[in-house]
Amino acid sequence: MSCEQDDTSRFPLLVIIIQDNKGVYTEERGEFTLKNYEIAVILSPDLDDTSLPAMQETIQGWISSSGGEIVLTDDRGLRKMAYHIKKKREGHYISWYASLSPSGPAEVEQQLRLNENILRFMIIKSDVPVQVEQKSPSTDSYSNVSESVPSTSTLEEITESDQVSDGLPDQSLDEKNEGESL
Amino acid sequence: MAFYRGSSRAYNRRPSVCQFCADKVTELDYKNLDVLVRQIDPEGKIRPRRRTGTCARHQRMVAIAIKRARHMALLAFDRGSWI
Repeated sequence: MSCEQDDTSRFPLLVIIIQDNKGVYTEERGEFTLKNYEIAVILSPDLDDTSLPAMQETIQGWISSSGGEIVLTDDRGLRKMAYHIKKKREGHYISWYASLSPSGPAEVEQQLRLNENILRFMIIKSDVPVQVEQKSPSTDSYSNVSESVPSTSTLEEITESDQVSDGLPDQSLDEKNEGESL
Repeated sequence: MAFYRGSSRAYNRRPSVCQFCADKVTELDYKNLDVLVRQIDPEGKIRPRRRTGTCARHQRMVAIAIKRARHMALLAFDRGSWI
């Protein structure tokens, strides 16, 4: 018995922490911390200029009402789909990066399933992209190569941030050279 | 009289290094169609590792990303009017 008491003093029983890949569950607090999700949605092309923002706001309301915090919205605009969904050829591609509690995705999914203006949706676990500009250098190498292929149309917004950064190493080298010469 | 196909079905030699490893890719988004289009053949199938030379780890990432893109109608399931 004495041994067990020693163990409990060292490791208090009330606090059991299950380390997940992103979320941490503490039994003391009785709640999960938030995980990062991406909620991608294809909206119907029949929505007007007035009803489209309203639809987006309702979806954002569902996310926030289920205890989520929207970090980033990624609106790709109207786009031709690869195949027909509900006899529609085009769709508005919008995705939200949000942090939700583990019960959040099921609640959002229930709401998304019932609406007829939502052609297709997908909720996946994914980290928030830090910046679109920072992701582009890794994809630039591919996009440069694939310019010869005419069928590739880019979804990624490629910015010219790396062109600016190209000048920096030369300057630093020049400064080093000056320092050595001095 | 055995039907002889000959050696006309020779494979192209696969690249020795995984293309994604060379670029140090850690995450692959399903919206990144520039990369994914190169990993499917005209039939819309996922190209096998023996043709593309990608390593096992990155082939898994490619497969997941292509399947997600198909679900969101960014890529077709078959030889369709993709993109």
